[in-house]
Amino acid sequence: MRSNFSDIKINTTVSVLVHGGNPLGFKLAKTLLEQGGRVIIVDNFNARSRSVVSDLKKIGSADFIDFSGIESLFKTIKRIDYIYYMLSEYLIRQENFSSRDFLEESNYLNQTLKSALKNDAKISLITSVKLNELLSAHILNSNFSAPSPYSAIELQKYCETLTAEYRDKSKMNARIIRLGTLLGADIEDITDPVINEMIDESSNKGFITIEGEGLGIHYIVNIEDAIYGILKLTFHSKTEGEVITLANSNDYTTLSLAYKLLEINDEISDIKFIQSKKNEKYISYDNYVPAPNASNFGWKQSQTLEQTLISTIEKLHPKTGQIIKKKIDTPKKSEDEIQEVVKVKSVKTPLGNFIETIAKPFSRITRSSSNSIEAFKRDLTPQKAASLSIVTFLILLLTYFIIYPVMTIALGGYLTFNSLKSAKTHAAEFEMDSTQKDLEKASGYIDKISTSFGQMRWIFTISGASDTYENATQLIFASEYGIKGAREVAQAVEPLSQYIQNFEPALNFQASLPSSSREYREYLTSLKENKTLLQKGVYNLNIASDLIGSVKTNTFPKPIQNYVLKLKQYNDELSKQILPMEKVVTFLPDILGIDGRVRYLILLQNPDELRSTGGWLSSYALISFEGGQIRELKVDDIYNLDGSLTNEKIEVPTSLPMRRALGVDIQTFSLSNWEPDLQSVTALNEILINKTDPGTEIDGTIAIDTELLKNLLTVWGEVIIPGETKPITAENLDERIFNLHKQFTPGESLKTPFLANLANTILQKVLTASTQEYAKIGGVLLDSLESKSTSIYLKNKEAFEYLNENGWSGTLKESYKSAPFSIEWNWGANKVNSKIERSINLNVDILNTETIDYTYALAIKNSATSKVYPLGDYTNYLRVYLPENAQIKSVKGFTDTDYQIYLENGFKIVGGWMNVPIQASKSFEIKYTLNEESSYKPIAVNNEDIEFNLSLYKQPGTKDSTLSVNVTYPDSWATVSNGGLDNVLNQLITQTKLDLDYNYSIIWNTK
Amino acid sequence: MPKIKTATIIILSIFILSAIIFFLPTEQILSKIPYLNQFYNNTTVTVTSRNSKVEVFLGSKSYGETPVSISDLSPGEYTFKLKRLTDVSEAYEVRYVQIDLARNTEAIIDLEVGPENISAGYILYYTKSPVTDGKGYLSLVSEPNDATVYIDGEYANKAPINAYLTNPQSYTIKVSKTGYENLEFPVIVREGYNLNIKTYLFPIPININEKIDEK
Repeated sequence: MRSNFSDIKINTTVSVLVHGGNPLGFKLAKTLLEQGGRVIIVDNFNARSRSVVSDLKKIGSADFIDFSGIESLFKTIKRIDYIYYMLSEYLIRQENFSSRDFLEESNYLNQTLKSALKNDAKISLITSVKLNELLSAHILNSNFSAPSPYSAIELQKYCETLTAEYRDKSKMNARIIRLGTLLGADIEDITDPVINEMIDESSNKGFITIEGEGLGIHYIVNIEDAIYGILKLTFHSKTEGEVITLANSNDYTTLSLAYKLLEINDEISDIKFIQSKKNEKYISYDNYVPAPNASNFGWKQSQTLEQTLISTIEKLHPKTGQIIKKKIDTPKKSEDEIQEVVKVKSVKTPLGNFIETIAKPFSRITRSSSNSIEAFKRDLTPQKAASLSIVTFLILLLTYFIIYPVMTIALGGYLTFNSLKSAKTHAAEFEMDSTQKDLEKASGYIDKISTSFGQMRWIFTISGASDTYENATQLIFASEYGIKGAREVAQAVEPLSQYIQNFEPALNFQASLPSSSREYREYLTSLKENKTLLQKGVYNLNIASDLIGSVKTNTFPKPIQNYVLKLKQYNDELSKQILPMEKVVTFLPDILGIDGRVRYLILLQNPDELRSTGGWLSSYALISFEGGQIRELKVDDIYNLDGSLTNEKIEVPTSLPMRRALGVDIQTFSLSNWEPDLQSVTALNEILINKTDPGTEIDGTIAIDTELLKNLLTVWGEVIIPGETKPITAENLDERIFNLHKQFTPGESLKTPFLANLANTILQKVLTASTQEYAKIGGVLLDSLESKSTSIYLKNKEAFEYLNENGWSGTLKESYKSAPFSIEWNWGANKVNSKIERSINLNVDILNTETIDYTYALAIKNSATSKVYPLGDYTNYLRVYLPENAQIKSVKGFTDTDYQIYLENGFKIVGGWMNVPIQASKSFEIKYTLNEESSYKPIAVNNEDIEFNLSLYKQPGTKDSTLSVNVTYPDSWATVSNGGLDNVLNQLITQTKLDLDYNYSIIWNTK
Repeated sequence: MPKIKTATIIILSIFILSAIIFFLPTEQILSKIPYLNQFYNNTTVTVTSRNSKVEVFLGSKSYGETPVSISDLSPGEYTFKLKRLTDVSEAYEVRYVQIDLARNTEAIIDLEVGPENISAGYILYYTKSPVTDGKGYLSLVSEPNDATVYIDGEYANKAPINAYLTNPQSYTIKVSKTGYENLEFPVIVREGYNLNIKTYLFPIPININEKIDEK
C-alpha cells in the first residue's frame, strides 16, 4: 500500500482520515474522492476492509496506510489540506484499553496534530457524544463509579484535551466534533445499546422493552447526515476552535423512539416498561448539556427519524425491513388506531392517563404534522413539488376570489343583520350607547362585505351580469353610508334620548305647584354641541337614501328582488323619521329654555267655524320651559281672557281693515286671529297679554285645532278624562266640545276643566308612550303640520326658519306672492265649514320674464240643508292676497260688488263679503298682472335658465278644496324642470286637492 | 381516504383562516406595519381661510395658522376645530368641521369663519363609493339649503345633491342663491369615490341707505 506522496497536484486537495477504516470513514472517503480529492486512510485494516478498499480505489486516488506507517506518511507527504481524526468509531466499540494502546493512540494523535500544524491543514477530531455524556455523568454524579484510567471515556477526554491545547498554543485550525450514535443504511451495528435492543426486540420479538420511564435522551445521527456534517463543520470558517455536537437537534427519548418504531412497524404488539437495571451501559444523564449543535453552523438533517430508523432496520434486520417497506406503500394506520394501541398496551399511572387525555388533541396534531412533514420530505420529487405549487397557487386563488369573499358575505351578512336588529331594539328602548356599539359592529362587517364583493366582480363579468354587480355594489355602499350615518345620528341624539327617558314634568295642567325642581340643561347642552355630528350623520343617510333609491331592483335575481324592495321601503321610512331631526335638534335646546325661560301660547281652534288661522279660537294654554323643565302650565277658555280685558277696561283698537270688514272696534283675544299670519297673531296676543299681565313675553304661538286632538286620540283609541261619564274618542270629541260651547257663558268654568283634563291626559299619554306609539304620534303631528291642523310660530330664528321652510310656521312667506290665495272668515256664528265645498282655478300666463297675467277663480258651495245651529248660511268675509304691485284688471263675485283694497305686510289685499246661503253656490274671480314695475318678481333669470317657483297657499281649516293650475309660457322656452306639473305643449298643468301647500319649482331654458 | 382527509383538513383550515381574517382588523394592522403604512396613512387635509386668519386644531393639537396642510393621516373620521384669530374673539364662535378621510385622497377646507356663526366657503372630502360604469359620485349640501348648483356652468339641481353620478374629471362648481354671494370653485370627481362637498354661502349685506332711499 505504498504510494508516492511527493507528486500531489497543486489543485488536488489532500485529506487524511485517521481511524478511517470503518463504514463512516469509507463513506467519508468516498465522498471526498467523488469530489476529486486525494484521500489517505490510516487504520489497521482487516479482511473485511478489502472489498471497500478496492471500491474506493476505483473511484479515485485513495491510499491506505497502516498505523505503523503513519510516521513515515507525515514525514514524506508534501501537503495535507484536511485531517479527519475519527476517534469515535474506534473508541465507542472498546470499553477498556491497555496502557500501551493508550500511549500509542496518544502518540498517533500527537503526530497528526504536529503534521496538521506543519501543513497548515484543517483538522477535525471526531469523538463521541455518548462517551462525553458518560464522562459528565461520572464527574457530576457520585452514584456512578469512576471510569477506568484506560477506558474509552478517559482516552477521549485525553485526546480532546490534547487537541484543545494544540489549538490554544498554536492557533491551528482545529475543531472537535462529537458525533452522535450512527444509524442508517451503511452502518454495521448500533453502538447505542438501548436503541440496539429496541430495534432488535421490535424486529425479532414483536415488543419493545423500556427500562424505567424511557425518558433518557439519545443523540443519534444518520450516517449520511454525519458525513455531510463532518465536511460542513470542517470547511466552515467559524468552527475553528469550537466543540460541536453532530447529532439530531431534537431530544429523542427512549419512549419517543419506541413510539416511532411502533408507528412504522405494525408487527410490534406491546411496549413493556420494566424497572431500571441501573446498568451504566444504559446511562442517560438527565443533566447532561451537549456542546452546541452543528445546526448552529448551518448543518441540516436531510434524513427524518422515520427514514433513519427504517433504513437501519432494513440494514440490520432485512426481513422486518421488507415488511415495513411494504407497509409504507400501503395506507398508514390512522392516528386513532395507533393511539388506541398505545393506550391499551402501555401501562400508565392515573395521573399519566389524565395528562395524556388533556394533551391528546395537541400531541395528535404535533405528531401528525411532524409525521406528515417527514413523509412529505421523503416523498417530495421535483415533479410533485411543481404540482404541489400549482395546487397551492390554485387553492390560494380559489380562497381569495371565491371562498373568502363568499364566506365573508355570508358571515358578514348574518352578523350585520343581527347587529342591525339589536341596534333597532336598543334604539327603540332609547339605549343609544348600545345602539352605537351595534352600528359600529355592523359598519365594520359591511366594510368587509364591500371589499369581498369587489373580489367577486370577475364572476359577474364573465357571467355577463355586470348590471347586477353594479346595483349590488350600490346597495352595499348605500348600506355602508346608511349604517355610518345612523351611527353618527345615534351618537348625536344620545343626549336627547336621555332627556326623554329621564324627563319628569314638574307641573301638569291640573297642579299649580311644581312637583320637581330638576332641570335637564346638561342634556340640552350636549345636544347642542352634537349639531355638527348630527348634520354629518343626516348627510350620510341622505346619500344612502339616494343610492338605494337609484338601485334597479329588476337587475337582481327574482328571489332577492323582494328583499331589495323591502330594503328600499325600510330606507324611505328611516329617512322620513331621521332626516327632520337634523334641524330640530339644532334649535330644540333653545326652545326648551337652555338659556332661560321661554313661554309659548297655545291656541285651540275649531275649524268648523273657519277663521283666518284655521278656526274659531275657543281656548288657550300657556306653557313655559326652563332648562328643559316645564315651569308654567295653564289652560283656560278664551272668553275668560276676553273677560279680563273687559273687567280691566283694556281697550286695544282693532286694525282698520278688520274694523271696516267686521265693524268691530275693540280687539279681543277671541278675534286675535283676524290676520292669517301667525307671527302677527303672536304680536297682537303679546300686546293683549301684556296689558293684563305686564312683562309677560311670548316666545311663540302654537295654533292647533280639534282635528289634531281627534287624530291623537286615534293613537290610543280612547282616553278616560276625569269627571267624564264615558271615554273620549275621536268620534265623540266634536260632540262633547259642541255641547260645552252650547252651555258656555263667559265667566263659567265648565269648558276649562274638561280641556285641562283632556290636555293633561294627552300629555301624560305622550310622555309615557311606547316606541310604536311615538312613531304614530310623530306621524299624526307631521300630518297635522302638513295639513295645517297645527301651525307653529316660534321667535327663535333657527326654529322659525325650519318651520317656515316646511310651511309649518303659519306665517305668510314671500314665496306665497307667486300666486294669489284667499282667506275666509266665517262671521255667521255657526259651524257650517264642514258643509262648504271649494274649487279653485288658477291660470298663470307668462308672457315674458317680466310680465305675468294671473286669473284666480274661487267657487264656494254651501251644501248645508238647515239654517239651524250649528249649520246655516255661510257668512264669509273673503280676502284675496296678491303681491303688493299687482295691477288688478278685474274683480268679480263679492256680495253687492263691494270690496276694499289695501296694502299690508307686502301684500295687496282685496277683501269683501262672499256670503253663500244654504244649498247655494257662489263664484269669485280676480285678474291681475305683474310686470316690470313690480318690486316682487316671481321669475329669476340665471344666464339662459329661467326659474319660476309657484307656491300655492292652503288656508288652515279648509279641507279638500279642488285645485286646477294652468301655467302657460312662451313657445320659445324649453322646459328643463316641470316641478311636478304635467307638460302639454307650452302649458304646465295639474289638478289636485289643495289639502296642503304646494310648491312647484319650474325651470326653462331659452337656448 | 387519506386524500379525503387531507382535503377536508385543507378546506377546514381555509374556512377557519378566512373566519380569523374576517374578524381581524386587517386595515389597522397593515397601517401600523413600517413601509406598508405609507400606502394607508397617505391622506392630506389642506385648510385655508378666506379673508381671515384661523388657527387649526385637530383634537387638542394645534397645527398653527392657515394655510395649513396636514399630511400622512390615516383613513378615518376627523374633527377639525377652526378658531378665528382676531382681537374681538368673542364675536366669532369656534367652528367644528367633521370630515371622513379615505385612503389615498386629499381633503380641502376653505372656510371664512365669520361673526354670528356665519361661515362662507366650502369643504371637500372623498369617501369610497361603488364603481358604476367607470364613473364617480358627487354629493353637495349647502347652507342655506335650496341653493342652485351649476356644474361647469350648467344647471345641475337644487342643493342638496346626493350621489350624483358623473364622469371622473375636473369640474367647476357654482352655488348660488338669491340674497347670497355666489360661490365658485374647482373640484375633481374620481372613479370609485364620492366627492363630498359642503358649501356655505355668504349672505349679501343689506344696504340700509338704499332701502331708505327707496321708501
